[in-house]
Amino acid sequence: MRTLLFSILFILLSLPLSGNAEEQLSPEDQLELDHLMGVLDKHTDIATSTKMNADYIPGMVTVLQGRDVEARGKRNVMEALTLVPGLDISLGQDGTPSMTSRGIGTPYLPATSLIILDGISINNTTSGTGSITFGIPIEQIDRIEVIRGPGTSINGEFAYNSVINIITRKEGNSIHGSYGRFQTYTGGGIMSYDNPENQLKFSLNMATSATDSADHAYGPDNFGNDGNGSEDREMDSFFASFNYNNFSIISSYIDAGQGSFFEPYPNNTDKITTTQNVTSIETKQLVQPMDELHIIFKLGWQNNETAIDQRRMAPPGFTYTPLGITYPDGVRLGFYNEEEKITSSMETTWEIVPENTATLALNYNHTKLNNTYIMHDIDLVTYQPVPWQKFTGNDNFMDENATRNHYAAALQDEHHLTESFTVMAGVRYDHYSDVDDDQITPRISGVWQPLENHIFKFQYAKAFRPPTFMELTGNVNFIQGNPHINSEEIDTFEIGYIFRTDITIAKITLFYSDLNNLITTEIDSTGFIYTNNAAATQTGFELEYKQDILNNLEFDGNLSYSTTNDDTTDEEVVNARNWLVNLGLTYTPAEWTTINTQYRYVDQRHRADTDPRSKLKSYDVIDVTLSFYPSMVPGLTLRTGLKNVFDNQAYVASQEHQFYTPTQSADYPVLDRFWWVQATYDF
Amino acid sequence: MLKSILNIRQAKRVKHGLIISHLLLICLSLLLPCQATAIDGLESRRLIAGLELFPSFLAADQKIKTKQDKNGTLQLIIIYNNDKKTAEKMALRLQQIGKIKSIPIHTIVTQSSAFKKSVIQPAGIFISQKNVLNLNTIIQYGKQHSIITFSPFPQDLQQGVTGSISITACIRPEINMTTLKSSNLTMKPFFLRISTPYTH
Repeated sequence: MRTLLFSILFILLSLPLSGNAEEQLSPEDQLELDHLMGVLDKHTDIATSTKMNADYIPGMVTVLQGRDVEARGKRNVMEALTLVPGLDISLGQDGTPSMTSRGIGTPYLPATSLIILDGISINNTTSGTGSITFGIPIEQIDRIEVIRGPGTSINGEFAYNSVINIITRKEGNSIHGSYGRFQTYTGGGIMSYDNPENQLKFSLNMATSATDSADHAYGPDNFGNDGNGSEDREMDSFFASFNYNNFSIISSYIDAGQGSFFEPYPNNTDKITTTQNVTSIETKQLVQPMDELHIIFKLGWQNNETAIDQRRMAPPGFTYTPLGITYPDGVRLGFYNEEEKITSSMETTWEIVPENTATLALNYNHTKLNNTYIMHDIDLVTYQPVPWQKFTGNDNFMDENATRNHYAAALQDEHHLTESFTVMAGVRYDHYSDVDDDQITPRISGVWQPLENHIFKFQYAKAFRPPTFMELTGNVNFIQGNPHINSEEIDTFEIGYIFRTDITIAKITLFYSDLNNLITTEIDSTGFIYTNNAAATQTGFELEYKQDILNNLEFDGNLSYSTTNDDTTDEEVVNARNWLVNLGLTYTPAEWTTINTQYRYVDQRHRADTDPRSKLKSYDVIDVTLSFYPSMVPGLTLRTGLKNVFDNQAYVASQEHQFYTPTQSADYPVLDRFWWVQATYDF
Repeated sequence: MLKSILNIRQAKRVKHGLIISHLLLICLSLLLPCQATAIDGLESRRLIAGLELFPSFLAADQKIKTKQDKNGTLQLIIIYNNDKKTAEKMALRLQQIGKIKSIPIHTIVTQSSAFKKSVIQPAGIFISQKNVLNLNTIIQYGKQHSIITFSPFPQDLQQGVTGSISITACIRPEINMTTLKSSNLTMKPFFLRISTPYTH
């Protein structure tokens, strides 16, 4: 409560500020100046909303431009995000991407980040993740804005440890196609129409992509078998937008499928066993009763489906020794979950005086499960084998009638105290119908530019991650939901310094975070149950550097260090990696070509303190990308590249198991040398 | 719907060999002298901001009225390298403003390699692509004839065009003061006051 009062007091104190005295101008010059300031204000707003001027506004933001990332050989959102300082994405044993931000990701934070796609949150309420967006082909992306650190007070729930804002391309007309090793391909196109006179715009952006992947050999698994992973992936992604005057509709459809990756052998290496699709549509109406006042009303609908078909938990003939039960067909598990969400919001932005802008946002969201069931071939009470069948009601894996009403209010004020000093303060209130505690999350950040080339930033922000339906209502007998758990919380302090000249950009960010109420599991009389009994800290720094060495040679890179401490074990958090490095060199020997080389290093990853194995191995990769821009066909871009030139290996950590012997299987290899070609034609 | 997409996908897999052959053929046939054209979202936003700022630069030129042609029109040149289509779009948008300081304007699209100082007497030059050929010739022409050369791309300002855009917390006009001085251009004081000077 003290932090809330402090925030409100700060906002109120910072409101009044008088304008500067104007010089006397002729009526003609005054008209000219008014017009010019209108143009500058308009484009300042665009620059701020598109993060063109991210270094000069409060908050630690990295912006990845789609075309630039393409020229570095990144093929989808997941690969692009690895360019961001402090971020790493690795796969889970089942092939699900999991992101680590500043050292902390799974298992504590299954939803470490808020994922926003064209302004719409993609994180689902069942599990909290939005990683379906990671497979979107880079050709469909205009830019990705990444807020490193908490962003709840601005962006709402799940903006816990970072915010990934993915903006798809909506301008121009183009077709694109790529092909690579392991029968990997992408194809798609973008079509748009823009009539500024009638203020009418629309766009369609679609792509299909798939890969057979390497299906790496792995083993022995927990049952002593060797085999090959099932690493196929496929995705269809479709985005559409329509704007007329101040009204707009934005929609997206993503349908993704993947193999079972590293389930106990034998598995089907050609089978897609996990599918997920997300459909979103949002309407937006801007009302502007006066120049200084903007009100945006939004109404949205989202449907999120996930299905897993017959994932193998134990191989045929497996005998569970403690009970002496043999499973002739092995043990298989599957489930289906469909979640529907209706969202609504009103955001009012008021430019009180030129130096001061206040924003008030109100949200109401309603989420419910529409169809949820689990399938398996084992009786979960007696552990006897049963025919493969569907279970609902009391035998379901979670409450199939789970619903959530979410109410939120946020107030923010941006104040240019002087020409060189801007402060932003905000506070947000969230209430969930199915969670005991309400959340108040303040944020104060500022930017100070005392000299042309020197910028200082600071930020304190609190954020939270609400418990998911699984964590609240889970009904699987070996992991029980807990209706009384509360939201995970984080308090983060950051300071940053930026040095900018025409040819050099250097940045350093220092951070410290205190994570509390982390949701984990503990054993009670019925088995594992979710509780808020964990806490951790993360401390570190991020260095970024960009240098134009010659007119046609550019270097850029970043180096991140984070150290974590799990309060329960007094060790590093599981899966944390201390060092991450990215280095890039772009050479433009002629106007018709560029050559890019990227180097990435990922440090060793920590395992659980109970796991006797050494840390998961570090790895590094070098990628080379060549781009050509043929003058004979204006608009055509040709690219080819070799990823992981030296064919180094990286691994997915195998999990420790409580029920199997041995309790660990071998880690799973996931990296290969990979060649690819790509063509894009803009017309 | 989804099943039909997946069926198409299966068919595509069968044709992978064919696709790669075509792609390689295209690559080989086009490894010839060529130039960069791809515009990303960032460049596009710079371009549009620059286009809307360019008329204010011209209006702030205290001698703009002396730069009319014999028909009483301000001739404005849009320079491009190889992306004529974008340049034409820019020209059309600029033409729509009609007049600057009550003087009618006329926009002309010109390829950088074909820029000839003797063709017309422009009142201003707008660079619509990065890394245009003959940039130095264009800059020198601007200096010699006291006209504003404008580019939304910051590296061109460093090369010596008169004006560009400064993107910091606020968007501002940016003026190369060295070029301004050597061009013998006089800008209105209020415009200079709100602009960011580039003095390197």
